[in-house]
Amino acid sequence: MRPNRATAERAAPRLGILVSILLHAGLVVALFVSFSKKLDMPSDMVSIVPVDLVTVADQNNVAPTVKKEDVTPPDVKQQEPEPTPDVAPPKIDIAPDVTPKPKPEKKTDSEKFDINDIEKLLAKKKPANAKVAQRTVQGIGAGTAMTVDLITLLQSEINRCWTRPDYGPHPERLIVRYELFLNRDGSVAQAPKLMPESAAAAAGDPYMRAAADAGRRAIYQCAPYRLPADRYNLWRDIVFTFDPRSPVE
Amino acid sequence: MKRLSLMVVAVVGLVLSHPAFAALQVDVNQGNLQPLPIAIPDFISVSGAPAAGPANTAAIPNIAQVVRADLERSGLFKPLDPKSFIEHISNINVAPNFQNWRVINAQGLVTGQATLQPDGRLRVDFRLWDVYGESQMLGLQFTTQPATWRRVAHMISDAIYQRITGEKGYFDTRIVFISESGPALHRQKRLAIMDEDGWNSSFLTNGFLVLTPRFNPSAQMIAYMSYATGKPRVFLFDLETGRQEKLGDFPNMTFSPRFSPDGNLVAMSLESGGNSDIYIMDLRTRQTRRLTYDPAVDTAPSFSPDGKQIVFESDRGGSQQIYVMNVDGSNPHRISFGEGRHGTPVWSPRGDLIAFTSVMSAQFRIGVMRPDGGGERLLSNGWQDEGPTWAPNGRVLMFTRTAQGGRGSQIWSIDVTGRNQRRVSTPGDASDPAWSPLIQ
Repeated sequence: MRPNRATAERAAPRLGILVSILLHAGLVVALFVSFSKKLDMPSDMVSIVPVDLVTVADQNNVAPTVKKEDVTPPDVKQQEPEPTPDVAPPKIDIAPDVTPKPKPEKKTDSEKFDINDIEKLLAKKKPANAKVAQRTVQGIGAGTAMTVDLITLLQSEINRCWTRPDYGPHPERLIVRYELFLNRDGSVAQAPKLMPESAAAAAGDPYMRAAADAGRRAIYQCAPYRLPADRYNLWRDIVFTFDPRSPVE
Repeated sequence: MKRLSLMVVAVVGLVLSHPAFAALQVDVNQGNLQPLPIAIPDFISVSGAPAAGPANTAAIPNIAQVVRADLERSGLFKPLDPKSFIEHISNINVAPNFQNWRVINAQGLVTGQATLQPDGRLRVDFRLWDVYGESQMLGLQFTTQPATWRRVAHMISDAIYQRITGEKGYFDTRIVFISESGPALHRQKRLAIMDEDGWNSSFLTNGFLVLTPRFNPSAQMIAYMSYATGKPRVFLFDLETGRQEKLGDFPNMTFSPRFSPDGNLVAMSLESGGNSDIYIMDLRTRQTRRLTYDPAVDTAPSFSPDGKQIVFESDRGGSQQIYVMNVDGSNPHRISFGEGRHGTPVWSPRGDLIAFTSVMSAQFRIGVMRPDGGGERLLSNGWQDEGPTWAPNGRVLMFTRTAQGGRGSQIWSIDVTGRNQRRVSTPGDASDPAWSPLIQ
């Protein structure tokens, strides 16, 4: 007897779900196993590429005409060995990353931002920030007046944590954007994601990479963000734009 | 109709999923300019079983101490006091407990190990960690003779500096300068050289007055003016051989030399009948070419990084000002129009700025301007600051500072932002520094 067609159609998805669950479980187990091994990092995994400084001549750099003790730097007491001139051009390569999975830690309670301080922080806010916040809120669609205080709070916190990337010939161009998802307790839900245009710029420019690093450090350093839980839907997803064009006040 | 509805739903979904619509937009536009707190524990010392004799970890130098000093001197890093460290690093191949470093507010962590190998060579491994991102940013290994360990320390500093800031470092460099000693009436000025941090200094010449030393691009040759033959002439000093050579055979004074970026040319001033003009000598053919013909004083030439232009000072307009011309001498034009006089221009290695000495109301200060003359800024604030020289990354300047009353001169450095002004350690009085490129 042939099975009923409708019964067969119902049975197929159940089998698929079962297979899917098994595969996902396998994946999770595999991830745990691989990370736990990586954390140990046996020494034979350290494939740091060597840089060899080779001495090619005894007098290839400096021909001093007086005794060294006459010209010892005055500010350092430690006696250093005599220099051996050297010259080999060093080649430097970056070793493979041996990083464990990132897991931002929570700060102590004393460091956390207190929701009861909202009024204090609002009073402290700088006019420039307020102007930007007003401009940013327009058109978001997630509520305007509802988010002004949230933006001000976040700006107040993140500005404290952000060391501006004041590097290179054009530091004013080092604008990077991160999208950040937060848990309801204000902790970082997943690693901040560099927005595509910033990621592309950072990939080919060491200054932009440094700026991206500085933004990521600021995001982690400021976590957890203590924000009103009843408006979690407004701040669970944040895009930070780190913009060093304004002069430091 | 059904297909149209699906398309509308898809478009709306895409629009709503865009971060601009879904996420809270926060502009971060203030921040701070505090130096980055970084923890650099002393490197682990390991003595690999030597072929003969007992293991001796005491012979392994304190590399971390030099790295801490380098980074602190830059003004961009704040190495934390090792006494504040909670965690003891005992294995650099195991990830540190990042929480222990966050507690002391470290944002960066450097772990390292120095191994004295059985063959007598020193191997140094280090890793740079992002404490908050919990990730390794850099990992390198150096092998060298133990005697050159300070260079390894400077190279580690350069690597950390570059990874954090995006800019190349400048710690594995040297400074050539004029060492001054003796009473004012019998001042002895000798050519001297030292590492960027003031260590390993030595004299290169003895007994003759020398001025304006300048490195070539390989940092192996120095051009300078000397009275060794009785008359002021430009000489070349080969650091590898110690050999000195008079550059050209000119009847009158030659001075103010400067190498081209490729090292093949030397621009310098030649004096004749009370007037000086700028010439170029090709070091390969020893052919000389005159670039300026003005009856005024033209001197202090400096090449642009691409070698296509030369900036120099001239009083052809009635006062000492800065001009730029093409490398063939064509199209000379004035670029300095700010208050006071402007002299000793030096083009930045990255090309974006020209440093100069500003003279206003008998006060000499160091300033920078763009190559088109715009954006003039004065950086230093001494009574007599003059003769700037650029770090190879174009971020830091050194210059000579003479105290009011002329009592001795010192070398100082300042960041191109105008911050981090500090004295450079030298053995005694010193002047006229020239910063080498990164050592090759």
